[in-house]
Amino acid sequence: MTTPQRQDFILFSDQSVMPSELRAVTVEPKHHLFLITSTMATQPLWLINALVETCISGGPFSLNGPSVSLKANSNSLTTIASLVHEEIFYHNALRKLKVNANGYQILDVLTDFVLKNNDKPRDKVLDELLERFPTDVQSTIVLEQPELLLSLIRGLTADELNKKFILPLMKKCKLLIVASSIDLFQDNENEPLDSNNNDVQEFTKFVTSLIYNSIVVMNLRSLDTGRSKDVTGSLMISRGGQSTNSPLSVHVVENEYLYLTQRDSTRLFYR
Amino acid sequence: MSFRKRGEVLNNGRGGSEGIPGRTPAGMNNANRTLPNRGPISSPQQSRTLTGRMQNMRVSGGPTTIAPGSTAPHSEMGTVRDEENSVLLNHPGIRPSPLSGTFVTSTGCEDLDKVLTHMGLPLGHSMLVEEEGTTEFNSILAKIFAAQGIVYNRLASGGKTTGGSNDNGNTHLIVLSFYQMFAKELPGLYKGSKKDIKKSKISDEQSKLSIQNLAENTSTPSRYKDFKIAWKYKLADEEKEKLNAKKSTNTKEINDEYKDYNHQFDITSRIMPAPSNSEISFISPNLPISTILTQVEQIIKRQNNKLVRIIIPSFLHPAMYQADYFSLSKSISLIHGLRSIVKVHEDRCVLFATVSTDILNKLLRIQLENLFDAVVDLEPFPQDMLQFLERIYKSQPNKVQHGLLHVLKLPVFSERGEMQVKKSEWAFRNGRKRFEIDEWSIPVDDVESSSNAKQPGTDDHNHGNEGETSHNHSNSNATAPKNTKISLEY
Repeated sequence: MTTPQRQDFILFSDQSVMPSELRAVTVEPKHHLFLITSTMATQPLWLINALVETCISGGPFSLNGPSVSLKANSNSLTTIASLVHEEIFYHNALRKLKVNANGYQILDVLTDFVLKNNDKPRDKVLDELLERFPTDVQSTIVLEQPELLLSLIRGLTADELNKKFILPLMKKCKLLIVASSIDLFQDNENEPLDSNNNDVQEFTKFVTSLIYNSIVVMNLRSLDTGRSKDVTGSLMISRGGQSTNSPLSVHVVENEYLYLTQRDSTRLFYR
Repeated sequence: MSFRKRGEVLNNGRGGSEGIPGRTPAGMNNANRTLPNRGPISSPQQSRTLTGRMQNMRVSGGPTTIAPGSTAPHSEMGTVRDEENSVLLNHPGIRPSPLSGTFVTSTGCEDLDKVLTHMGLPLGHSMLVEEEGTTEFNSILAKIFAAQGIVYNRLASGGKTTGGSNDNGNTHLIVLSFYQMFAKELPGLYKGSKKDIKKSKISDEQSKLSIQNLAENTSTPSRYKDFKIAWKYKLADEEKEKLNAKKSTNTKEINDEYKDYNHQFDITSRIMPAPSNSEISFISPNLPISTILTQVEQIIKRQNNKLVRIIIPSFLHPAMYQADYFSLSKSISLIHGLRSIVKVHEDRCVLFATVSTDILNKLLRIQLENLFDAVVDLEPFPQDMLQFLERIYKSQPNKVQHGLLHVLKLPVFSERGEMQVKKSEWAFRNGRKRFEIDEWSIPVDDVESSSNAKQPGTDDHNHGNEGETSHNHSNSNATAPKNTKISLEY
């Protein structure tokens, strides 16, 4: 059996993952959102790592292999915050990829979040959380599973979360990368989604708003045929709601890759 | 002078250790037992030499051994930390994962450990066992998980259950439940069948140093003298011994290193004596969430050199949990808080929860699954399927499985992004002495296939269709004689 040819990870029409406009320091930077949607079976650690690597080192070397032409971006700082993973988890993952540790910082949002914020009003929790992120309009922020805040903060609605946290966070940086879980929307004949449920409506509204605010959506999902030894899942790249309004001179290249994740390496290829 | 028969047990079976070879009985008499390369934690005077594997797996700086009375140039904090590490490194219930190198602890079910692929649940990770329907297989797994923790603790404390908070144990359980009878319902260790117990008693007595045993050992067995062809028996015995010795050395080496890692439990028995407060702490889930989390944190800090196994049996069971737990904000906050605690104490803490999925809506279930590192789903077979299996395995009732086990998430691998969903690949069977998990394959129903083959023949007889009869005759050899008979009659 022949192994399929490895493909480079490309998001934009200039054959890049992050166009130079996004990485360059500008006087009046615009704010952009990348969205990663994933399921429990296809978790996005490798993709987040590849994007962080691109922000810091100039390219996704862990996916595409080393490249001399790409230059490291020493100006911007990348902040990673996760509601499900602890600080050491990302440190270990990025250390394995030999990403320059000075290029990123990790905010531990998981530890003691409930203990610290259990009885606080919603606005205060969101304000305090927002304050923890550095304000640097040239920087990149990676946020994993912000939709969990809908469960963790009593009474929080999708609109509030968007207006009081996601949009202000976008304004704090040049690029916000949000990784969101969409298991809820997976089709299951045995267990249909109760669309009348208020919580379900809020989750749906939140994810939909993220899709509308993003310029690119990267969807990770498992194969429809089930588990396979040589394919982990598929990565579908599609334009987000803001791709047409984007001031970028390049456009998103819609594409679908298959990928295989084994141990700490991931390989992209076509069908 | 009194005589005793060869099979008779000395001391009326009392006073001797009741261990079964290859197994560790409940209430271990560890004082006299020396574990290979694992010094009993209760006796720091004994040597604490680490095996090669442990030396390789050293977590952080500092010496791996603590010599009592040594004056190592460490700060006080460093010494405490090293002592803590040393206790955990010598823990019989912690071993490195053969796949990822992370430290793992057993779930108490050997087959489930294998399904998790790490030979256990990695430290700092959490596991959720879901169950569909109204059966209670998940509670068995929760009890076995708890019982395994108690056995570890008693291995260290030599089977004693002290009342003080700072006893010599190595493991502590935190159970999120107000049902304190849970501790008394934990299964005891499986001691083997009656035959095994008797055999082990005999071998124990024979292994003791007594004049009679010595005399019997040195003298040739009586059957060598009795028969004329005794030399044949002797040769056969010698060959058998050689073969057995060869076979056992390889497996022994592997088993000896982790021989106290997991145990077999008999769910019809109870662990004796019942776990005390020093071994198990109960926290009522009906307290405010911040109180629950604070209490869990405090207990973990108090048990500073122990493996802490947090268990949530039957999470969201309506009899134990208030209705507001079914809101996302409460249940998800609790699990999120516990997850954060487990991650903070990732070197010595694991979380195990079970839940019945019938009482959850899709959103709540997915949110719960999202917060656990490992998720398995038990799907018991419906009644007709069980009847079908019972009919097929009529002569082998031990093969009748009780349901399917779906793997939805595996620790370490799933979070890396590997696709580890395995649906309908495993089947489980709950027996008295073991919760077995095997690969699932649909059994072939011989009776049905043969009856199907017979069916057309009967039709032929009813309708007298000659053409069909000849067709079946060519297809099935089994029905051939009958068809011939029918045609003759016709």
